[in-house]
Amino acid sequence: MKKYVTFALSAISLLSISGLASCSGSKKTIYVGTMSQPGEPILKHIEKEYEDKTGYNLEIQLFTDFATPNNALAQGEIQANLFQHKPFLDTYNENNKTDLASAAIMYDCAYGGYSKKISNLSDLPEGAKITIANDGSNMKRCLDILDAEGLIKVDYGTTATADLNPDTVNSYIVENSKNLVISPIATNLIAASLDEKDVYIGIVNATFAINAGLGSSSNLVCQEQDPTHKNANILACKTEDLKEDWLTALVEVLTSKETDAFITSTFGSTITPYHG
Amino acid sequence: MSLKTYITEYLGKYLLTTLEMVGITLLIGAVIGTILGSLLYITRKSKKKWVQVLYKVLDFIVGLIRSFPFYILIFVLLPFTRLLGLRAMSNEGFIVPLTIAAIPFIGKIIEGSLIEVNEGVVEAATSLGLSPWQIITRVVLREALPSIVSGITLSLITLIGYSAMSGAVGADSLGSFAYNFGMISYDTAAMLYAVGTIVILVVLVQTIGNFIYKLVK
Amino acid sequence: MIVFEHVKKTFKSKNNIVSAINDVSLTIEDGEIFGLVGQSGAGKSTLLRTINQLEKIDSGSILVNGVDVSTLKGKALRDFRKGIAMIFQHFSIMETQTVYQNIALPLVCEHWKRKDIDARVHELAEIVGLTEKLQSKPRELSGGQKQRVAIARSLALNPKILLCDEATSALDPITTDSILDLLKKINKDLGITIIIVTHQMEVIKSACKRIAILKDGNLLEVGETDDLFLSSSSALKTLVVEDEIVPTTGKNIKLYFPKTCTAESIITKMARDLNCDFSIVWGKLEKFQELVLGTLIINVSEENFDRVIEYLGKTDVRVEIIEGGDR
Repeated sequence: MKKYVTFALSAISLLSISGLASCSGSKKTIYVGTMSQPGEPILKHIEKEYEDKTGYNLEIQLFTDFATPNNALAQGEIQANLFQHKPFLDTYNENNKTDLASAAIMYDCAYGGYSKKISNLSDLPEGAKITIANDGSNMKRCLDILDAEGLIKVDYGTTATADLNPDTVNSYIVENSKNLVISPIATNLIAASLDEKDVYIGIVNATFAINAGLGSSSNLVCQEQDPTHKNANILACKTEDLKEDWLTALVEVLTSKETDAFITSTFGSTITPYHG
Repeated sequence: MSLKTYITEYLGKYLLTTLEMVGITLLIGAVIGTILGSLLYITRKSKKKWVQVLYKVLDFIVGLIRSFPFYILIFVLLPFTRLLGLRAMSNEGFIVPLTIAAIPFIGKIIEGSLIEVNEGVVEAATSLGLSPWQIITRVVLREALPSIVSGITLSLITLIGYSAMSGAVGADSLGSFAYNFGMISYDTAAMLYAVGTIVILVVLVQTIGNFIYKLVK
Repeated sequence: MIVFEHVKKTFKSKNNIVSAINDVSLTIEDGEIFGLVGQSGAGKSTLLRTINQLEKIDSGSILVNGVDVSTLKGKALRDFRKGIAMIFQHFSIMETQTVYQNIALPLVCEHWKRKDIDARVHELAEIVGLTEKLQSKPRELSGGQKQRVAIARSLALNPKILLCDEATSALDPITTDSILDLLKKINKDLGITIIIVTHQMEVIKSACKRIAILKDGNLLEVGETDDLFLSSSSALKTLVVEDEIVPTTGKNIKLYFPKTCTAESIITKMARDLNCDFSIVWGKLEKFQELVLGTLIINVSEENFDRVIEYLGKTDVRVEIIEGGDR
């Protein structure tokens, strides 16, 4: 009796492994990596249309941090990803000697400064703490907003964006008349950091802010100006795949009028479709 | 997120992947872990020099893997998973680090259970002329069964906990759902649904574990 | 027949070497109930366990029915052990298994057919009186019943020898008696040689025909149990912690009555013949298997002492003078 049970159990485990490994066998599966906001709902929206059109199977794979989706893409684990802007991708390519490309410009995702303590930048007290993104390109984005508002003056000297280091953030600040404390932290923690008693402003993208309940205009104290759309989010892929038909089809459905309308209706003003 | 959306659109998928991931890991982990635990138990008692060395080596490797933070282990094992021909950053790929973490964990639990078995019973079995294989399979493992069952229950709950980290490599589980759709999306309701599901799952596992424990005792 | 020849065994610990068995030579005959007795640490258990090689010896030899056991290894050793049963102080049966499964264990491991196992288990349960308890788990059993399970299990493969390592030490006196009765029955009906390691005087008296007395790994004496008691062997005395309360005045004399004479006639006749008074301090009768042996302590005055000793010297009675007040 025991022998049969053991045998059955091992058979089941083997079957399930091979089942998992081969479930995509008949149809070609395109894996697209993204994060829960705002990429997931957008990809989910086009999933069926894409599959119907191409006959491919589209798998949306969710990641929890910014570093892994590009690693997965570079390793060939996924075929495309949607979560970053061009400067972030360039930084990644430079740091990792990879050749990932932008397949399409998707939407603007504006960064803004949010606060739960003040409603006007002029109320910012001496020595207030400001939390910003801690990856090179987004950190630069945040610092540039503060610079544009005249709160600090930044100068990166000859340092390339890819080499910007959150540990030495103060070395890029050449003028800081209010003695502000600039603190780079993980992007997904910035909105939550506003509940800390010494944090006056968090600079984060609008999606995070809205999700965290910072949607009302009284929380928004400053906003990124990006007339050249250099910080628009992109669909990234491997350079050698740029001409593949699965990718062309994907770009087509992602940049369609219908998808743009979906994005606008879902995210309102925080995400604006833009395709260059 | 509304409870209805959670139940109709997400619950099935994420519960299934969690169960599949943890279930397969437990099966493989329990089989190899039992072998490993028995090996530790046997080699630990030996008086032969080379067997003692073998025990030390095994014990060191077990300790090494166990002291790796699981989050790090996931990334360290990515190339190994690819070597096995699996997509490393995927649901089936995540089973590899989960299993590698489970084997020494279960192995140590089994070893502990075996050590607890009354030495006198082992001696009696020896005096009956049983072979070492018979002593392990027919006496020691059977006597240790209740303790092994509670150990496996504990392992299963630990694995459910570990599975929450699957989101790090883009694999799905109730835990990664809670993180992706709850935590970083600032959707408290979604987080509570997922965490609630995990709590129910853990309570269920514990209850079933206790029931089997009473059955074998 | 089991023959020990110059058996030596030492235990090495970090700091010192302890001699557990020191040059023991001994022969145990087929079909007897033999006792290995001594205080704890005497080496009796170690000596017993060398018979089935649970302990290896350093030098010397142990021949069991002509086989030198220390040369056995692997399968040969396991097959040899199947012919030698063993039971233990704490029963050592499997707690998670039923009585039936416990008794069946050696048979299952020998790949017996299910039908044959069933028949054999019932037969063994009959012998040890556990037919009603076959489906019980050990935790539902008393200590005596657990030991019966262990005995049944040990007998499953028809062994020729049964080793008992303090098998009754964890049991109360009444249960001890019933287990000893069972062992005696097994010895008689099945012709199994039984070797008992014990420190309990009742066990020695009740069951062992011959005993070997060990102390600190040395063999002090070997002989028939009743002879050793009668000769008031000094080795045996090291075992008996009998606090003999005797008067502090006069002289105390302990009399041992052999099998051939009775106490009363000698005492009363002596009183008449010597025409002297003495008081009886205490006396008792002890059962040695089938025999009854008696001891008596009397107290006589200093002046009568020599006459009494002289008189008793002419009889079969063995005499021992007890230093009363000095104790």
